[in-house]
Amino acid sequence: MAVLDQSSDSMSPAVRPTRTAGRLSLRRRATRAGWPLLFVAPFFVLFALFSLYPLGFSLWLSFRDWSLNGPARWIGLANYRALFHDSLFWQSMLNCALLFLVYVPLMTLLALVLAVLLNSRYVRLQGLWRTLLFLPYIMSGTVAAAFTFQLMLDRNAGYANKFLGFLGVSPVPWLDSTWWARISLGLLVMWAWLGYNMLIMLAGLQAIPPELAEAARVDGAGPIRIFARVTVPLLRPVIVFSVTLSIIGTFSLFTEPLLLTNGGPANATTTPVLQIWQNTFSFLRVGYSAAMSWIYFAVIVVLALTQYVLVSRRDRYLEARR
Amino acid sequence: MDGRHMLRRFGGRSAAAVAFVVALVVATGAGAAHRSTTLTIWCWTPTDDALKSADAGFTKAHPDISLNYVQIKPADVYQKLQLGAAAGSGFPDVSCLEDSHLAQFTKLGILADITKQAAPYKKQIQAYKWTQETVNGHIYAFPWDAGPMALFYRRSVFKQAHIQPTSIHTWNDFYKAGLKLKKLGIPIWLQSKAQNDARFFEDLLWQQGLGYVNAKGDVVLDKSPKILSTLEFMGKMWNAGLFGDLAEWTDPWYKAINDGKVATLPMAAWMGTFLKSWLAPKTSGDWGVVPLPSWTPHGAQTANDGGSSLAIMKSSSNAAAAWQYVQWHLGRADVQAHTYQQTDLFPSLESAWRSPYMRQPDPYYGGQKDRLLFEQLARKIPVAHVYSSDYEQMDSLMSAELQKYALGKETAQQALKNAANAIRSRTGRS
Amino acid sequence: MTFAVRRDHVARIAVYLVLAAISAFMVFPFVWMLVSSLKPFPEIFSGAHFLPEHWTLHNFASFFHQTNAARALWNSFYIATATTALSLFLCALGGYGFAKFRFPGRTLLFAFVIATLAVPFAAIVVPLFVMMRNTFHWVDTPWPLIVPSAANAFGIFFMRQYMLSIPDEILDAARVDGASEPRIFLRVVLPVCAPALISLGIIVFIASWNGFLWPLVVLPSPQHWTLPLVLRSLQGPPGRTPYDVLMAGSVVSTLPLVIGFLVFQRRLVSGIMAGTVKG
Repeated sequence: MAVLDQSSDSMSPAVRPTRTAGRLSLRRRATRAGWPLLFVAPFFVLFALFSLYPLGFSLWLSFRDWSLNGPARWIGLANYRALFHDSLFWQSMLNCALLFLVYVPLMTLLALVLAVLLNSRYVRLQGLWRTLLFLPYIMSGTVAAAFTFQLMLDRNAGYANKFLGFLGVSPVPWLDSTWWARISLGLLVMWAWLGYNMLIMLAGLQAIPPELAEAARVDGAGPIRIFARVTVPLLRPVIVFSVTLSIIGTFSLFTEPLLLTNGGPANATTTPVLQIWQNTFSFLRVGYSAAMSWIYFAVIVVLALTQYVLVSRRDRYLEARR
Repeated sequence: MDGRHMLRRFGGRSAAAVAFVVALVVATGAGAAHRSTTLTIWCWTPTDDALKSADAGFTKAHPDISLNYVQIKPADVYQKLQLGAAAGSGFPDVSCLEDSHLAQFTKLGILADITKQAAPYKKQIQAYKWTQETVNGHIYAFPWDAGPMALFYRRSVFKQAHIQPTSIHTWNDFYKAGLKLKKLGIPIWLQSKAQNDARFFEDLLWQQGLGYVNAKGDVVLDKSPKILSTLEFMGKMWNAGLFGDLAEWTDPWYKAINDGKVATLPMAAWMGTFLKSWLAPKTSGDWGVVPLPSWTPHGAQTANDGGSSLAIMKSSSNAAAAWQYVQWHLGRADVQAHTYQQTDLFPSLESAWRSPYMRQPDPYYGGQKDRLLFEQLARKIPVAHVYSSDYEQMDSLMSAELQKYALGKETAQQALKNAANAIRSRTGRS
Repeated sequence: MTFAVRRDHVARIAVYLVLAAISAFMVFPFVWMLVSSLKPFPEIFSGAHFLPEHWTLHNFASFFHQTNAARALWNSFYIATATTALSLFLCALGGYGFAKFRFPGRTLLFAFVIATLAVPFAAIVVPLFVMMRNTFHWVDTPWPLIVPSAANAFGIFFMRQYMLSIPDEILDAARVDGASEPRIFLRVVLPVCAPALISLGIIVFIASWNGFLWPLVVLPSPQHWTLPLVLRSLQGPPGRTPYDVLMAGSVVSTLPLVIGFLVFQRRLVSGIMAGTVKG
């Protein structure tokens, strides 16, 4: 058994191959016995039961008229046809797109810049800054955060306008105009997720060998040039990952618009999820909501795929040029 | 969890045991079972206060029935009832329902049919209420309060602006008074642009016998010149800067009412309960009530806003006790008069109007006998089709278009057309 | 040279100012929430002073008195704990299967796991609710919050990443010693993965504690509510929204996370960084 003793360092190299082969066969035996499949099975069982089946069920429902009560009546494509003309639903999609433009570019850029700063030796107390910037993550998507922002952004009593008044800026109708409401919502989401995205970028940065930036510096490149020509291109996969998360996150907003603005004013901040929720639980149009869910799902998949294709095509292009 | 699920869970043996226990209970007499009746009642503030104000008498008369009030806000009540409908469980015995949402639930088929029990009360209660509680000749809820509307005005502000409240006969007079008040920097009424909930707009429609739909249930929002001019009237008030831009039921709104930064409240009788209890108790004596301005010189001087009913759930296993409860709280003139006195929820039970209390001056309204006024107004509430089984959707779709109109993003005509089309496509109405 | 140094100084100060400003923006809502929770109601809306003129703990008393907050605190706690425990176990198990074994279809299956990340919860919330209600009869029980998302793609991916770095020799040695596969997982793999488990555990706990949409749907009855639902129920109308109580409730629901965050933040930060990059 001494051969198998882990702590024995003094084995001759000649023994090693046989030993490895023996162990490999053991692992193979475990594999053949189906252990790994058993280990990954819970995921697939739960996914099939609680995601795949609901997706199918939802498809089934989307061709029916059902109010949660009584039988579901087959109505063919009527839900989809009605949905096509449902300006409110498309408005909710548009809102997400607009909201995305309101905060995601700014948030991504900020996250990137902050990550670069915190990755450089330029800034001290990195741990402290990282903690402070990341802190709001623990309140992301919470009821408490939405109410706190509601109070802070109150046109009359909120501290946002008090602060602006202090700076000599006239009060802003944070929640009372369509665009300001979108901006307020964007602020809340950005507040919660900036630190998270910064961490993702920071992780990506730490995987980049420092020699690359060093070499550029030796070649006489300034910090901004290094950032634009070295850091950003190398970090592109991570940036794409972060933006993809932001797309899905923005289109999945629910708690924030429900509690901060209740989808208003004039539906400017209503989201697809709010529409699905409202149509199901307030209006009992379950089939219609199911159709909505499917369109919503399709849009997200298309967006994610589009981004993936664009990125990979660009990669191929760059590679060809290289 | 209801009994059905329990049976399934514990299987046959337990089912047999339960059957045995049930048999025992039946054998020892229904009285034993009766003694333990507990009614669960869903309601919200202020309806819970109103109902509880009559509980002492009820409990004395029915010592065998104990009451369990669950306070849930209306929006949640509706959601829970709808979700309950899917499983057939999770219902209370009795629930308070706003008249605006009543039709939604009569349609859902979860409310108990009380046609027989309610029959003796048909003539004692305002006719317009019954039309809301009735589907195909069957009654599914018992009428409680009505929402006769009037114009509450702030006495000191009117004095300051030299306006005679009785001089406001029409909405045009209201507009002119608004201009005078504007010079003092006080809005005549508060209507938020961005957060408008369309409720005031609905009130104005109701006053003219109009609504989202006609008697057949077809959408008429974009087909009536009167509805268009009603919306344009609101636009005119906004454009002239006569409406304060504050959302209803928010703290800035409460503050404006407290601080005399709004001259009138065109609202329903039930507003009194909010004003007196927590909204503006310190302004007592500084308010007065006159009829709502009318659209034409001899037009209706009131409308209905809100109002509520009590419904017994079909699923209730205590239906008899529940009926005792409803009958006591809503069907007795003495109880309803008392409730009105306590909470300003105006009874639709006409026999309650004979109470001497109706003729008492009310110190909150500067000693005015406002209840007599509300009684007169309540008798003349026009029949209108604002509420329906799709009210919530209609209101939500109209609110959004009204907000766009108020913010200058579309014309009144566009707003009504968009709202009407959205309602048609969402509700399948023509 | 001196000019360059001074310019560098200015730039450095500017960087610190920007960092301080953004950090202030990040921390301010927490401060605002705490300060508002200690103010009597009228002071919140008079907005005259930032700090309370009359400090009070009354709002906290009201929060526990007016609502079922103590019950909700317990509900939130045990649901989040149970969710975390089950989720960690199943994700570690799945991650182990993918990281440490070669079996036919592994790559494809793993790609499938990752692809499931694109299914947004909102797309299935309606049918899932109907299932919970009509098939499972799980409405108003903690199960819908614990079971369906227990083995999730993110967690499996996360654990797999960590487990790739476990040397095969340790596992093989255990096999040669005759340990059964489940035993190896429980006695060898799980202890080695403790740091990753802690990181993932915090992420899962936070997500469960803060969950809103799904509890809102499957927990209709007040006695089963979690803290976010209690907070939301305070919002009017009818009646005025008691922002004083609401802010106290917000503090109650956030404080445990803040404390946990400060204790474990290093783990959490390194966890999120480890979980995201290598993909």
